[in-house]
Amino acid sequence: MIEVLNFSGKELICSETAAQSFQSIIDMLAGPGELARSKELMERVRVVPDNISERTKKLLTQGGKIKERSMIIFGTGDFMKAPTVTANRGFVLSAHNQVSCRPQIIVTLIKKIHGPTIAFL
Amino acid sequence: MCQYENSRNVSFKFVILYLDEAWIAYYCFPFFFFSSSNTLNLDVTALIAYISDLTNGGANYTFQEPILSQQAEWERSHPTKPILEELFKGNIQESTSRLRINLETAANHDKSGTMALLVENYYMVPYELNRDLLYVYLLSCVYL
Repeated sequence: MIEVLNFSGKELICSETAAQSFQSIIDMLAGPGELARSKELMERVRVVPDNISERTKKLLTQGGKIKERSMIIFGTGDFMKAPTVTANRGFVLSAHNQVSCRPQIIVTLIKKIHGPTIAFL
Repeated sequence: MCQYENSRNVSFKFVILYLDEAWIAYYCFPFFFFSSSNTLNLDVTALIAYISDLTNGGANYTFQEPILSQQAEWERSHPTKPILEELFKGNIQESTSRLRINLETAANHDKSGTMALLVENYYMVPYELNRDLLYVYLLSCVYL
């Protein structure tokens, strides 16, 4: 069953690299339902040229979970100022690790305080 | 009154001050903590998750491969498609800041459902405790 796509809210983009990889995976092993769904989705998604943002180039170094392809995809998202939707937890975690070693403000939850102080806002 | 072991360079006063400022920033300039862009960049994994048969009602099946079965089980317990659809519609705000995630976690633990933070249970400390940097950060909230 093909569902009608009705996401009115956000504009969806994806980088050329991501689109190519997606297409090759679809060509290799998609079933009929998946093929139809992918066509509908790609009609909705705007493919933008690869463009890694300066920030990504400066802050991240390749290696481990940070592969060139992921860097292109995430960097393009950063260049377009769009948050990236991903299931690639490895990249996100290691990127966060690499960046948070540098001096910048990131607030983290560390441990509990034992005391009666309560802050309401 | 307050005891914590890892307090090498953190004073209690400083922690509370920082927390208050973070909360003020969060309440006065919430746009800083939310994504303002109307676009979403999709990864290959997101594209596949959206169109896959597994996420479109095909999870009620026991596969030969244990990995696939586990994947199906996860899908059954936490369906992916609704989350993606809400994200695409713009109903879920994706977090742009680590702070927001932490505040949200703290708020979720609060049973009353308000966004009140119980300092009794949590406190927040920046990795780099630098006052000047903090002020730059707050000013950037105002002027950007």
